[in-house]
Amino acid sequence: MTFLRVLRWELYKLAKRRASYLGFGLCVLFSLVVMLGFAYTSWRGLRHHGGAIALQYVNGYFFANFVLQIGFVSLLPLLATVIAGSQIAGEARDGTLRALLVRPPSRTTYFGAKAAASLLWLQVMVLFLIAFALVFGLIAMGGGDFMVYVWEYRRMGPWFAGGHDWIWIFLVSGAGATMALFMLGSLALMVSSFTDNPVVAHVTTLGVFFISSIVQRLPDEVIDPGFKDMMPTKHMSYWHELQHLFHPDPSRLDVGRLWNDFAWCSGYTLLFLAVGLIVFARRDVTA
Amino acid sequence: MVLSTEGLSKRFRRRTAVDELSLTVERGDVYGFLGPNGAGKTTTLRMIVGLVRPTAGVVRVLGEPLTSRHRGALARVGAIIETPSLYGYLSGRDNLRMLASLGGGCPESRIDAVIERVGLTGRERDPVRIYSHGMKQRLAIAAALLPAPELILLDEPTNGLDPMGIRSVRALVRSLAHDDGLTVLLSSHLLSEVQQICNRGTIIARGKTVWEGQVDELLATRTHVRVRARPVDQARAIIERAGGSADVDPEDPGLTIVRGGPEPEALVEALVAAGCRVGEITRQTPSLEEIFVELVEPGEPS
Repeated sequence: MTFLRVLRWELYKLAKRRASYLGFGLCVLFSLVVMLGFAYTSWRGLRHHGGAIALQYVNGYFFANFVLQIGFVSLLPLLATVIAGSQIAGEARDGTLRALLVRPPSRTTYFGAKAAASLLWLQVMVLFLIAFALVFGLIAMGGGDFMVYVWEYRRMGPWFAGGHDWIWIFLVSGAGATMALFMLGSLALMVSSFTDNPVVAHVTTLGVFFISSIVQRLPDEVIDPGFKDMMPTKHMSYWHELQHLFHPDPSRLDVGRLWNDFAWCSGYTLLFLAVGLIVFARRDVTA
Repeated sequence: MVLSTEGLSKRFRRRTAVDELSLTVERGDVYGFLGPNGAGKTTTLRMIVGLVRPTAGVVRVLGEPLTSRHRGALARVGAIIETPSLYGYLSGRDNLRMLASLGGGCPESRIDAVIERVGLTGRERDPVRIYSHGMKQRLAIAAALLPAPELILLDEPTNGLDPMGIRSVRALVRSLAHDDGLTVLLSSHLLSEVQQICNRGTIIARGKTVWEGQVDELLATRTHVRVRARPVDQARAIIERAGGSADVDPEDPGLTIVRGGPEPEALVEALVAAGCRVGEITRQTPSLEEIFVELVEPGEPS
């Protein structure tokens, strides 16, 4: 009960803070820019993908899926970092952490509630990005069949989702993407518990994200695949595999890859949360 | 006993901020916690409410030892540590609602009551970011009062306030103690504040206790009588015969400082009867400030 009470107030604070809505504004801006980019290039970039993409299928569903995939490696990591990285360090900087910690709930409860609030807010933001891109895409490009095209699986070619599967594809992808992004959120929360300056948490987390993303893309001759496997970002895109849950051919679902990447991601998330909790529970609040 | 610390110490790396501090606050006390800036007052208060982990020692709040796992006693403690820190983007009432809820909840009527108690009625729906410093301080006091505490800890509550704000906060603190019967621990480096408000207290310097006891007694033991009488040696002998200690003021050899012994009236009578010429006799109670300097910086002229 205490946890739910604290969580409720953490969400209330997020909802009442103007800065929390900056992320939604960026989601809108991101979708608009991608749409403008599509229109400006007259779709010719898409036309050249081995002829696999027929322009009649470049519609609202395709656009929303595209925005989610691109947003996942550009905008959403930034938002996940800022939301979670401000949770503890932001309150320490503003002095409000003192007001909370002189109340009876334990630091473990506060940390858990802040982690859960970050996860929920991130989930809302990811779903908002999908919903906005979908509505905007449907208005601008119309509807039709949902051609699922994931860059990672470009060699296998696109496939078509049946009936109303698009709803489930977006919901499952949104949930999976959020869980994967929360690994970065938990890293930001961990760093946030070391410092009284949220900028330190943001910069450190984004630094780790960029370094990891670059290292994982280096050729195998330079960096051994075994080492690359240890990079946190290497496993974040497992949610792409979740879309295969709705593939007409069930054999396309690579359960092994799904579990392996999910386990790596969850392991890192739990590790970051555990270290963050230990530090937060023991630290002296002097700000 | 409402609050006690035993051998409380805190070291930050090589620096000792608080060194084996022991203090006892009894029910009904308005307890002054005095010390110069950097003496370790805020660190001590932070340890009392669990913001900082002691390196050694024990804190007992309302009879219960306070640890990271046993924080229940904090539900009956109101605390303002350093500057009032509240959420600027929430209204005053929302801040109080949230803090009340985190403390276990309380009815809206209680929130109304504390808002009225600190004089913020009519402004409670405004966002805190537009409050003046004095209003934020009063809102912080309201937050501290929410759980109907038995003990309230106030860390330099008049810091940064204008004279009207200082007067208003002091009146409020006095009223909390006298009208509401709260036990108050007031940390301050303003001696006049402690002298005006507190009955008991502690003075700390460099993390160590240099005095603890009744404020009145501290002032009384330092009260002395200044005597200017001639001949000086004869006057001094008479004073000592009457049971007082007589010291010559090093800056003014004609002035004798008398501690203990008879009352000034009897002293005048004895001196005149012995044929001394009395030019001046004054009872002098030093200010807490003078005593403070004497205790904190022994050897420094007060």
